[in-house]
Amino acid sequence: MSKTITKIILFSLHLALWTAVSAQDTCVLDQEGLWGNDARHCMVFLMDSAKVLDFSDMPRPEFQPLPVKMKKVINQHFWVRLHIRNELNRDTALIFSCPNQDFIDLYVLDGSLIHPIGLTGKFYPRSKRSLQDMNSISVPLPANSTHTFFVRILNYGLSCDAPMPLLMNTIDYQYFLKGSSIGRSAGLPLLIFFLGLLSMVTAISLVYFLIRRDSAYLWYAIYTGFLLAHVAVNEEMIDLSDWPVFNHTASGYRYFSAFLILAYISFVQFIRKFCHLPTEYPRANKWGTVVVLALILILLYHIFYFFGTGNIFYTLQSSSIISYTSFIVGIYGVVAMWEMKQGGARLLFYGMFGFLMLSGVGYGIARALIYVYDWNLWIRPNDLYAAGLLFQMLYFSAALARKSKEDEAEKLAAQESALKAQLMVASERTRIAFDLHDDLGSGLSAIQFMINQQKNTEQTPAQRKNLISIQHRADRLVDSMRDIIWAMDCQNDSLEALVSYMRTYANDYLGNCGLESNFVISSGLPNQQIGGMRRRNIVLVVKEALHNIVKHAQAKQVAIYVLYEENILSINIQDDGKGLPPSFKGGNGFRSMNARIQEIQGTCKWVNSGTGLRIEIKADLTTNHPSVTT
Amino acid sequence: MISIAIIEDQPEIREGLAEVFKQHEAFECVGAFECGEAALEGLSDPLPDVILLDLQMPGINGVQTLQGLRKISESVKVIIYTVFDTDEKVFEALKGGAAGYILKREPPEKIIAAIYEMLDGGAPMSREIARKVLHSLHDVSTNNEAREPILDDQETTMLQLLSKGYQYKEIAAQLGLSLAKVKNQLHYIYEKLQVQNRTEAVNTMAGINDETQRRNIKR
Repeated sequence: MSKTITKIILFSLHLALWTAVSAQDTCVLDQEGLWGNDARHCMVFLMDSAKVLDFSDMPRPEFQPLPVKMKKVINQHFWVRLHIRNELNRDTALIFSCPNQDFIDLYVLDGSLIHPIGLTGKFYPRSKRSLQDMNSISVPLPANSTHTFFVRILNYGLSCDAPMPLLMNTIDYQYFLKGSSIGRSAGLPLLIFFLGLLSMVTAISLVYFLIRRDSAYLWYAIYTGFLLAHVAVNEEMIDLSDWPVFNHTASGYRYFSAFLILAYISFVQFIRKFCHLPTEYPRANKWGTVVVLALILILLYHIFYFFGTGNIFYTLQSSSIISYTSFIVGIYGVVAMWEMKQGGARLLFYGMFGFLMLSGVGYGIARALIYVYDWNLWIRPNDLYAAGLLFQMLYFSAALARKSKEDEAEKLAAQESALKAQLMVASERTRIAFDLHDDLGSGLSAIQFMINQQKNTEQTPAQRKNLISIQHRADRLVDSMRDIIWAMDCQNDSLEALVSYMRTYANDYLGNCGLESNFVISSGLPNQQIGGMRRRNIVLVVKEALHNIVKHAQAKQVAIYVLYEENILSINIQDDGKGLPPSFKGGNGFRSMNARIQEIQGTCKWVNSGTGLRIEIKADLTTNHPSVTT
Repeated sequence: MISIAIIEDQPEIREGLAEVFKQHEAFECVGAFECGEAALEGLSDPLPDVILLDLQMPGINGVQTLQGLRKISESVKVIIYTVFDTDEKVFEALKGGAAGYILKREPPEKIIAAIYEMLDGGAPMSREIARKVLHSLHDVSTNNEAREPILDDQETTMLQLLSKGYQYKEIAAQLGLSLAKVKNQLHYIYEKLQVQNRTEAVNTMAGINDETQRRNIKR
């Protein structure tokens, strides 16, 4: 339930924020009149918000169509009278501008003075000039004042020297700047805060990438990096107008949308890598590929349009590009969200809802609010935009952290269940072993007992021989059961337990057979783990060696040296017997010792030394031999 | 004359053992029972001098039978008769008051020798059991630093050597003691183990940690 509430709150926050952003973009000017001209891209800028009004679709006076390659002056111009009332409590300014066309100029007269304010330049070469330097005229607009301007727009040609306003054939239009509709900037502190946070996230992601070597973090760093550049350009913190590529009379603004598209591409890449889409969600991944391709196409179009054609009329195009791309990415996020099984991954995808908001839903709501309630906001749109992106990014970082945590938890759970399964197998094996131990053990001990009793009675030598060999068999069976139980018990999984066991066995066995034994540990034994299988194999090899000495060597003394160095356990067994005959090729005992020691990647050598035979057993106790796990 | 009772479910062993003791002039076999229930029913105070007890039996097992016998008489000498000394139940029985254990593979003459040794105050202790005793008593000692440790230095060394696979005679040589003294010492260690076990049981039941009781463990 609380999750649903969280989602609703997040959803509302997204919606509210992007509504505010869109609202600011739409309610800067309250228009009462319309004006237009044949020059398609004549604009008026209001300096506060850098808001551009476009008059492309306005009604216009009749003009004759003109040949395109016209060089001569054709005196076709018209005048517009513009009434602007500044109802704000502060000064602002108007900028008249024809930013696009080389063959248009503006002539602005202050209506109240009939006094020329300025004439824009004539033929504009493609030079490195910012928007304000170009063909634009800036006029101050004092607080609470009304101004009338005459604007002459000359179409397709060089300016004629006609300074007088022609009041006939003039179209009247009125504007007023209302209330607080052009919001106030929250100022530099917010901007610095925002850019600082973005840089921090970028840096942290990079550090994560360097530590974890996971490309997802690199994509996230690229994403936040482009977002940083995008906002910096938007806020004119950096000026890219001098950047070398296709430098027309353009501003750095055209990078604004390019950076955003690049940010989107990196974001989708990030989310694909981070949520393991290629392996875990192939369908969502396929759609991710489509989205990235679409974004790349849009980027190419953008590059062609804004960098290749010299067209710097960017604003509306930029807005639509941002809308399209946000819409695509937002829809992708919302659709793919349902496929995600993990809460963190779902949150990440869900966050892309913000992109959808940015693209249009917020805009629609804002329009409705403006028309119905005459809604005005107090804050500058750019600040809201930055705040919106900041929220977006904080949200993603939080979701990312949660996803990371869930990944860790899943990994741990997987390890745990694997361990549990292992333990279950182990305990089942132990249970079987103990059952065998109980049943076989008591049966064998009864046999041993009866043999002992039988030995006290009269027998022929042949019967006695048989009886003794039955006794040996029974003793060896009991021994090997003891060994199995010992190997099964994981309490004995240590080097120390292994060495103790060998020591007891050697002392008991050799002592019972009338041999003198000497057990020497030549180094301290570290706290080294050894699994049951390794222990058992080592014990069996040593037992076989001792057994062979008792049986064949005619020895009186046996010395056992144990040495542990650099993960290698060496056991040297030296006797004072007759040694191996030169013709000896190895019997069953040798073969079984070799097989056992090779099973645990060890070696076994027989060396005739001066006084007898030395058996050198070596085993590598490095913990992760592929074939030796238990 | 030493009176002895046998509790063993395998008839061959039970009857065989009874026969061995009957033929021995120093022993008198006063009973041979096939399960714990029969023994508790058939035996009453005064109990025989020695009871040879199998651990693996149908019905109530050896450890429970031992508890029953000790209820009849605290001072009863019960010797565990077992296939393997590595069995966890052997350690349980030693904690529960058994005087020692004998392996079933031993021939009759060794069984009789072992009984004599235990009556003399000696006790056998295998490597595994030494390790378990060390764990059981040493942990208690180190966990309660304020109190006096249960094992003294010699006893600790003895248990450590045993758990490393040293033989009694090697230990005796190393500590400068006689073989009999080593075995006696092991017997005392078993007694400490039993007192410790009882104290733990009492404490667990009463939910207290009575320091005086713990002090009593120290002889």
